[in-house]
Amino acid sequence: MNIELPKLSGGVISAEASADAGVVRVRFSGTADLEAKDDLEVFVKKLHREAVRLSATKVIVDFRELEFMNSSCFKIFVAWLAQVRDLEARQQYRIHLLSNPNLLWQRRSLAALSCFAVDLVAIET
Amino acid sequence: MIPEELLERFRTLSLERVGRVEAMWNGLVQNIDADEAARQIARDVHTLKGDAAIVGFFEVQILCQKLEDLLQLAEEMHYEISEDFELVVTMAIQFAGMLLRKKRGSAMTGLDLPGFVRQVDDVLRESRALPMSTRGPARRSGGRQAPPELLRDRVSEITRQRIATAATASFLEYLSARGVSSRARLRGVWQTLKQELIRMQFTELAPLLEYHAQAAAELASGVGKRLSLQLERSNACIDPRVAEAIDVAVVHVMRNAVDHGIEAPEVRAAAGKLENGMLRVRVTETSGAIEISIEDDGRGIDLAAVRAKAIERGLLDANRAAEASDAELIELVFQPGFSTKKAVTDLSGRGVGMDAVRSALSRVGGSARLKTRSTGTTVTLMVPAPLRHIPVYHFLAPGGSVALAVLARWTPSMEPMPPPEAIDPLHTIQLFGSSRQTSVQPPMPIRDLGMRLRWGFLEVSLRSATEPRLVTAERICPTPDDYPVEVIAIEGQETLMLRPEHISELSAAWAGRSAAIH
Repeated sequence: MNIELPKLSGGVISAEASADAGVVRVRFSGTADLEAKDDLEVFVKKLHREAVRLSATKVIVDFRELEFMNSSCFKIFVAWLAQVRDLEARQQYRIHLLSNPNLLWQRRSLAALSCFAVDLVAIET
Repeated sequence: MIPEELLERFRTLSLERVGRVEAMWNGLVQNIDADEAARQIARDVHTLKGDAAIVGFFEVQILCQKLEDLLQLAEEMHYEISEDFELVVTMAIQFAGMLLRKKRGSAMTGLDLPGFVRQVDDVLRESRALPMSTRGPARRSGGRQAPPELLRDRVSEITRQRIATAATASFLEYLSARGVSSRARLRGVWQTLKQELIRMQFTELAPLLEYHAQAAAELASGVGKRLSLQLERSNACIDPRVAEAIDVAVVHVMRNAVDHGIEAPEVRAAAGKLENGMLRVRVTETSGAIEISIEDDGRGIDLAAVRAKAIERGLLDANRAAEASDAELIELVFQPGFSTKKAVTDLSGRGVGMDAVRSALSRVGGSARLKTRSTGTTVTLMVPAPLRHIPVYHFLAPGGSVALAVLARWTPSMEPMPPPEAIDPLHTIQLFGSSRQTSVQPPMPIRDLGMRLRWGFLEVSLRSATEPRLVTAERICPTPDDYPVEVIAIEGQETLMLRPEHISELSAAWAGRSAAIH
């Protein structure tokens, strides 16, 4: 089944998702700031919905080209993790965060984010 | 056993409280009625902490304690906090909400409170290491953070590399441009981008040190001491990240020198010293490193007090402390425990913030060492020097007018005739014709040679007009390692460095630069 998630583009943030063999991949680029918040929120909600619909076992989130994320946008990801945690065990999927060690904001923030669902989230550099 | 109804009421009220704290925190960082918001947040978090303890939500209690620590420090910093700080407060509030929603009796599955608390502690420690003056008037300020113009805007490495790629594209356009006005315009674009890159990459060290030395002199004056500054001139340049680390470190070291090292004029006179204390700053550049030496002629560290403090804090037992060498005792001064206010009072000497000095420097690959004697103390800060110079093989492209280079990790071997598979680098980057010239004086007669380059299992054959010569080049426009070209300077002359391992991408690079420019 194909993922039904339109590409997020045109603003300060871009995101594109694909799915293959139970793995959903989403790549972010640009800047996740206040201007991006509403679009990002809608996108992440749809991403979760699609991951559940496709019975995904893993969602790979590529942040390597995302230059910055503010706290408001981070809350969207915290809320997403809470949604995944609240799913029944058979529906839960693991989340792999691909990070860029050269982007300073990612060092602490992604580590802190993983604390919200340490059993579901892995960080790869 | 707490009745379920009571727990439910606690949960409902506490979640309301957490929601209120979050809303007020958002307003606070945007400076909306800050004082009242801060008071209300403090009340709510404190109440939540107390309630959580009563009903046995100990994880919430721990988190509230950390939130109180963060909020107190944020207030001291007048809410001029880093993104990391703001983020961790926001996430701590979210974390509290998650803990409160957790069903009774369910395990903490997935929620890593100890891991999160470590992140909070890291932020607290790093923020406390900032210059004291940024933390509000109530604190005793001995140093101040350097003004922004001394600490360059820090952009991410990716952004810097993108600008370098665009600059390289403009350089290639300049080389291939026809017509004097086009060439002049493109040369101007290249020069502007190059200067901007240099500004982003390097910060002069001397103004930063002069600034802090002057601040130290003002501090000394404020506490009735007199200070003679000796700053040795230096042209050293550093990475902006390193500059920020030095900013933190120097503030602590100089404040310690003034507060605890250099004595009051009458004490110095009684000890036979000049009434003016001396603070000397020297910068030494060695291969790959820069050393900043800050020396005072004060009373030095009281190692007996350090020894006593080490025993009191349980860092050494009495026997071990008695045997400890001066170097071992000095090492203790860098321990976090020795940077508390109590330790400072007890030591009546240096020790404040030396852990912060080492911590700030270690984050950028630097270190600190300290020597002390009864006539003064010297702290040496070591930081990595920017990697500006690289060895390259320099040669001329076919035709002899364009200077090229490859990194010296490649091993060249020459052939009198270029083999059929040899690549003409100018054709690959589509620099046809002969109007551009980046080499004024060819060092050797122009020929048509084959140059076989080997690096590990990689092998590339290029056409070349000269034998390669090994030289040192300056990186003026560092592009990513996987980008096929970079502009470097050899003996002041701009030269195109090729990355033969990406030679097949050179045409794509050309297409990219066309898109970037047109």
